[in-house]
Order: sequence, then structure tokens, then C-alpha cells
Amino acid sequence: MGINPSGHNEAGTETVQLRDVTTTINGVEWSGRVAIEEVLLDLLRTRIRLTGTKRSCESAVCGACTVLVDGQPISSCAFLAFEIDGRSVVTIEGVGSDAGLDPLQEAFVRNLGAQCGYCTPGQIMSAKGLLLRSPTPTDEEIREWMSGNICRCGCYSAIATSIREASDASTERG
Amino acid sequence: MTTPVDAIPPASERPEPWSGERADTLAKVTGKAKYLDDLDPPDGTLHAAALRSPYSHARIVSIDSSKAEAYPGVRGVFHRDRLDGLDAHLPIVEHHLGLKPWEKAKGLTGEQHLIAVDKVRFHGDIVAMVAADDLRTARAAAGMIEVDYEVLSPLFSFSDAIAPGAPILHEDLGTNVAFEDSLEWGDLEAGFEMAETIVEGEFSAGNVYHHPMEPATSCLVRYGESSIDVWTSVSKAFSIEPHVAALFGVAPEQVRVQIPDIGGGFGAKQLAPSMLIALALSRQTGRPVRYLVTNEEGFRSNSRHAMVYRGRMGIDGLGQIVALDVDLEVDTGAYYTGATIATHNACISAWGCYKIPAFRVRARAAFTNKVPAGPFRATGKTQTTFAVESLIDVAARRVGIDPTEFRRRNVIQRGEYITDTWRVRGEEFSAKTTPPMDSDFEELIERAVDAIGWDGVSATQPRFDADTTVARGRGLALSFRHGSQGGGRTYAMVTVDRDGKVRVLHNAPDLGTGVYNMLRIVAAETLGLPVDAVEVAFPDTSNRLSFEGTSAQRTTVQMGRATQDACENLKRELAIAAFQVFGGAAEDWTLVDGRVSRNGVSYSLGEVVSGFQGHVTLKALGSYSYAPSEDKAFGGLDHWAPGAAAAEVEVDLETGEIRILRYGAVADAGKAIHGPSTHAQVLGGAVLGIGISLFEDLIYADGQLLTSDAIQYRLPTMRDIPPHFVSSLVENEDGPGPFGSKGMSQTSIPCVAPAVANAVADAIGVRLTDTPFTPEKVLRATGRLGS
Repeated sequence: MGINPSGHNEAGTETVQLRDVTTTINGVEWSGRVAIEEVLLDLLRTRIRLTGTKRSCESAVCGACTVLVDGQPISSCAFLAFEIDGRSVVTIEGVGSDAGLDPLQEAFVRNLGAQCGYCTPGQIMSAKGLLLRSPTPTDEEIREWMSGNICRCGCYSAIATSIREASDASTERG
Repeated sequence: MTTPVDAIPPASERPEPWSGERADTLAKVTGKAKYLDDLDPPDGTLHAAALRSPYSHARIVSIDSSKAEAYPGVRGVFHRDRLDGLDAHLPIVEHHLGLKPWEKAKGLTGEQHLIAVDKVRFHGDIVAMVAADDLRTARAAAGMIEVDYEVLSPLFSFSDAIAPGAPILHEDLGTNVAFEDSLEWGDLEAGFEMAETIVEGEFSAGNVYHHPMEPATSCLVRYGESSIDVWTSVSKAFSIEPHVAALFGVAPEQVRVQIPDIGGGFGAKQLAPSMLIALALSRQTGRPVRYLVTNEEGFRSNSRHAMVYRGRMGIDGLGQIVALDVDLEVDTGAYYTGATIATHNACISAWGCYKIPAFRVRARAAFTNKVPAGPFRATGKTQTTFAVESLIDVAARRVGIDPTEFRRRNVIQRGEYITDTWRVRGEEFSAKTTPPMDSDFEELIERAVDAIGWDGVSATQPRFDADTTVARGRGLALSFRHGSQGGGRTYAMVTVDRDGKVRVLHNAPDLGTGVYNMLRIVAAETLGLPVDAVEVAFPDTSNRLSFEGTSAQRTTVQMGRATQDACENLKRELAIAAFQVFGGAAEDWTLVDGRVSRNGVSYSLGEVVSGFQGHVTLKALGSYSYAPSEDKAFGGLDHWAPGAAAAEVEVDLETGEIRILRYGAVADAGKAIHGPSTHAQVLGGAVLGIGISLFEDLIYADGQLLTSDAIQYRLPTMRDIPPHFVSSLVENEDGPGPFGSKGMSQTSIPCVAPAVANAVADAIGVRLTDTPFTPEKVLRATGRLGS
């Protein structure tokens, strides 16, 4: 964005309104000032350098920029950054851990749920949101829920299989 | 670091590599994969924004950029009056089949300009670009540039473009015809005289956009004195340097192109003038420049050619096709970009996959005021395959033979040549420099109909009457295209360091298809190593390992073979190294199970390399060349790439909606080097095919491109996948690639539109002739909606 802490752009030609924000991103507290029109996608990618969340349609259609805010999947390209104040954000970097992958990630690897991979973080975040809400979704629920995530490589069958397998894995663990 | 190679289990205890986890997936599921937009730009990088034409056709009267230039934070402005001494006319690069558009044009003027000079010719043509300290400033400044346009009437179709009195888009050419092509063989007149039945049909395919999820044509560039650096995602790493060299008057070798992970391509990821403009701004400002396009700008970077195919087919009394005459109209958009390659590819696929004694196709490509069209998955062939496979069904039904049976009777058989000689644009060549048919359509047909649980027999009467609201039908389609075509000479290099890791260096960008994983398997199998002992580098042209590019289904065969060759040479290099380090004679040392062995003593690769004093990296080069050919139809071809698909559809006669219930796609992979990736290519091509057959459409009206964002342009989602959706691979290990592999990634997309159209005809007896098959078109075709 190029907005400095006093609310001016670097050239000093514009002044924008700023908000103080305190939030948790992938379990780590983050505080800072954000311009009121700054979208969460830019905050994550440009300022915090969490580049796993992808920029694509920038109109809340394709799902590539999906992250979880308080467990709900949202399109970060159309979500104002200041709205995360007091809430918790999870991005693809917060899924799984050094100790091991999340069952969804494992299933995507096993079933080749990604080809070019550009939509994959968004697919996984949407699927996370689905499994948080409905741990054992039906095939129809999966299709309906995931229809907001475009995969131009056409991996839809493998993605659906991966979500089904990950939901089975979560069921098995009780 | 210790060598992981020491720990390798014997080959018999290792998981087989052909279907294991893919090397690149882990980074993709964890968000660690680095695409262009994710790279840390060098210090001091400026951000660029473009000013694009709001009109499809207009003369530029004046450009006033004074406000933008005075705006704080702006470092550079580039437009026709700020060219810094550069020539805005881009040079034409000759196509390897000798298709020279300027033979017709007799000049260098119809080619795309670096940046709009006299006119803008499509809605989105770049008029100016600004580089500033931050993106916000760059975009604001671009909006301050005042352009005075004289708006001209736009041309949005081939027929408009060639109509008498039509405005000429490139005045110096004196015509809107961009290119003419033809291919013919046999005696057409005699062929039609033998025909007992003649069928005719006209089929249209509209403009569509590839829509890679990573928007096309972004770049990060740095114009330096000693090196000109370009980071971008393109399918052809070496396509950029000749243009940069010509524009700036530098040596091609000064240009270094590096390619990170690529978020899909499908033909859209090509060199674009915007990359050269960004370089010009970097030269002007002395700073690196990053130009990230928006998705809406991506819609203005490339598209598929719209085509109209008019075919006339003669069939004799025995049900044999005896003649086919085709007229093709190609709408190439505003510039030459893909006029020659798409038109030519349409010509060399216009007869489908049938043994036809007399054939002729005449094609004309015209300029229109649309987004320049370029390569699109199975370039030129999605359009012609839709037409010819529809016409085949029309012909079969007319002569009273079941369409599947009619195909079996006429299809080209293994061992047959297409014909003996042909004339390409009037010049005669032997048709036998292309290989004889090397696959069995009979088997592909069998698998396709089996895949949807069909016996292959179509209804002789439509399956509905006046009371029916939903009708079901089934259809078959075949595709046939060149596999592994063209491409000069391909090189790969393999290295081994002290850590024992084998590294493959190359310039075959992976657009998501699994190229790097394929090369890893080829190298590991050739060297007898487990796959995780091999790493595959990202493309970097500073290694000067040439390759035409990841297109035309050539990568598995050409780069696969070059890598295999490099690994064979590395074995010799390892033997020489072992002799030098451990003694004996070089010819005594051999590579057994990934270890360099002699008389029962063996060493890991890392131990051999570490045995040298000081630092040594062992290297071996490998190469591959396709068979040279004077022929101007195919110009060298390694194998054929056939495909087949069967569809079962449901047509709702009330709403006009088509639902695909069952779909089966078949490809001949020769040998699937990585099975899951190969199936994913076949199914993924079919998903793209569903989009362009049922709903994707770039609509131009009122002087504008109307459907140029993900809201207006309907893309296939998970809901559009047929409930039964399967792929099947023929693997006879008879291809020219490593382990008998063949290129197959473009075989499934062309089948979708004709398979669906044939299934709709089977269901309701109505022939759809214009993609996409929207509900409105279905209702019009059935007479339930007035015209």
C-alpha cells in the first residue's frame, strides 16, 4: 500500500484514515495500524509477508485468497483488514505444523489435489472451514461448499476425494 | 552433509516411482511454493501500472502525461511520445514452419507494437505505463494521463472484417486479412463424383480466455549494464531474449530469464509487450520494475481464436468418406500474435482422424478489434475437432450407419499414412515424413464407450416426444493431433555434488502439469536411484540449455529424452571419476543400484565426488533433436496423439440446460511416467473442455469486451463435474519418449464439445453448431424460443 504509520503515502500526496488493530494470526498476536480501505489480502501478503494466500480474481469469486476468520472462510481480497481486530485469522501457513501435515494436506498430497497449486491454499482453507462446521459432510455438501473455489487445472475430483478422506480421518480420531 | 544415497535400499524394496507422491505438491499444500507475485523483489524495485484503452478501436490524437510526471513518487512514464529512442515496432520472429505473415503483408507494419502508437485496436491495448515508488501511486498516476481519442467503429467478427468498405485496422497493410493458409491432397472433384451422399455443415467456436488462476503476463525486470534480468511465468523461457535483444540492441545472451512456480497457463503464459515496456521503464529509471497484472488485465492479454468451419463431406455407397472440403474463417483479434500458428494448426487438424482420399482446407485469418488471440490448449484444434466430429455424426446418420460404426470404418488405422503427398499453400511435400499412425482408435473407442457403460450404439430416433421435459442421449468424439512437434534442439544437464544429490538443469517451465516431477522420475530410473535422490531445478536461461518450450505436447518426449541422455552420459562420467579417485580402469566401473561398483566394491555417488581434492561437481550434458523434415504441414513430428471421449447428457427441454451425467476420456500415453499426473491432465483438459463447451464466452458489444472478469465470465466449478467422470490411459510403451511415453496433455479438451453435441443430437434430434451451448441456444435450436 505504501502508507506510512502517520497515514500518508510515501510521497505525502494522500492522507488516509488508519485504525489500530490487534489480532491473532496463525496463533501469534499481531498489532499494527491499517488503512481503513486496506484489504486483508494485502495486509497478509505485503506487510506480514505470508504469501501462501493467493491473489487472483480480486472480486471474491475464485476463492484463491480464502483464509479463516474466527473459523469462517472469507475472501481476503474483499475483506477489510481492520475487521480482524479482536478476531483470529488462520492462513495456509497456520495449517499443519512442523511436526506434520494436517489430514487435509496429507490427502491433497496423496490424491494429487493440486496441479499448478495456485488455488490450493484457498481450496484447503475453504475445506478446513467446511470440516470445522460439518466434520463428515456429504458429497453434495462438499460440492455445494467448494463451488466458490475455482481450480482451472480441473482437479475437482481429486479435491473432493481429499476432503472426503480427511473427514473420514477426523471421524476415526473421534 | 552426509550422502542420503548411502542409505538407499535395493531397487526391489523401493516403492515404484510411477505413481508415488509428486515432488512439487508438498510446497503447494503448505503455501510455501513461490510464484512470481511471492518473490522478494530486489531493493529499490518500482511498481508499474498500465493505462489501457477504454475503446476497442480509436485513433490516438494526443497524450498528455504532464500531471502524472509531476506526481510525487512517480519515477518513470512510458508511452508513444516517451519512447526513449526505442522503436515501437516489435520485430517479427519467424515461425519454424516458415509461416511468414509478412509474405502477405510485404512489410513489418501489422505486427503488434511495443505500445500503442497511432491507434488502439482492442479494449485493453496498452497506451502508457507508469513506474512509481508504490503501486497505489503508480495506479493513481496512470489515471492522470490524459488521452484524446478519435473513436472509430470496431470490427468484432471475421465477416465484418472482410466486408467491403470495412475500416482497415492496420492501414499500411491495406487489408484486414492477416494470413491465408491451405492444405490439400487427392483429387477433390473426382472424390465428390464418387460420393453418393454429400453432407454440409457450418460450425462456430467463439472466443474464450484461458483464465490461469495466476493472472497472465506479470513480470519483475531489471535492466542492468551487464545483465538484463526477467522473472516471469511463461511456457517458453527463450522466447523473450530475441525480442529484448532487438528492442534494446543488446546481445541475446545478456538476457537472463528465470521462471518460478507458475500458476497455470493453458497457452496464456506468453511473452507480452508489457514485459518489454516494464524493461524500458527499468532502463529509463535505473531501477528494477515489478508489473503485476490484475485478473481483468489478464483477460486482455490473450484469448482463443474464434473460428467458423464450413465443411462439405462426400460419402460413397459403402459408407466410406471419399472427399472433404473445408473453408475456415479465423478471427485473430487485433494483432498477428497467434494468427499463423492457430490457423495452421486448424488446417492440419481439419480432416479429423479419418482416411480421406481427397481433402482440401482453405483458411483465412482476419484482424478484428478483439483481444489478440494466441495459443490455447490444443491450439486451433478445439475449434476444428468440434466441427469435424459433429459433421461425422451428421454424415453417419444421413447414410444410415451408426456413428460409432461409421467412425470405425473410416478412422485411420495403425501403420497407415494420412496420405502420400500433400500441398501446403500450393507447395508439394511428401506426407510420409510424418510417422504412420502409431495407435489404435478401435481400442480408444472401446474404452471410451465402456467408460460410461455404453454399448456405443446411438438412437436412430430422438428419445423424446411432445410431452417430454428431460431427454437423455449419448455421444462419441475422437481427437487427433500431432504429439511432440517441432522445437529445434533440446538440452538438459545433470550434475552430482559432494552431497550425492543429482540435479537436473533444464529450461522446460512447469505450468502445473508435472514436468519437474516427470524429469525427476526419468533421471532416477535411468540412474537406478530413488526419486528423492534427484532434484530438478527451476528454469534459468543463464545456463543456456536450449528448449523450444513447454507446449505442443513436446516436453515429455523431448526434455525427457534429453534428460535420459544426460543421465547415460553421467554414468560414463562417474566411471571416469571413480577410476581417477579409486583406481582400476574406467571401463571396469559401472553404476549398479545407484552405486558406482567394481569387483564387489561400491561407492555412493557422493563418495565418488568427495574423493577429489578440492571442489568438483560432476556434470553431463544430454540432448535430443526431432527428426528433421522439409515438410511445411507438420515440419517434423515424433508421434501421433489420439484421444476419444464418450458423454451421456441430459437435456432439459423447458430450461434449455444441458447436464453431463457421465463422461469418459481416453488418451494414449504410451507409458504414463507419473500415472496420477497423466490422469490429471486428461481429466483437467476435459474440465476446461466442459467450460468452453457449455458456458465460457468472451462477449463483445457496444464497443467493449463485456465478460472480462470472474463474475461475468462463468468458469467451471466443482458443481459442473459430471457425477460419473473418468479417464483411461492406453499404455503400450510404444512412444518415442522415455520408457515408451508419448505426449498426451492436449488430447482430451477437443473431444468435449463434439461428444456433448453428438449426445444432445442423440437425445433430442437437434444439432448444436455454435459453442458454448448455452440454455438460450438450446431453446432456440429446439424452437422453444423465437429467433
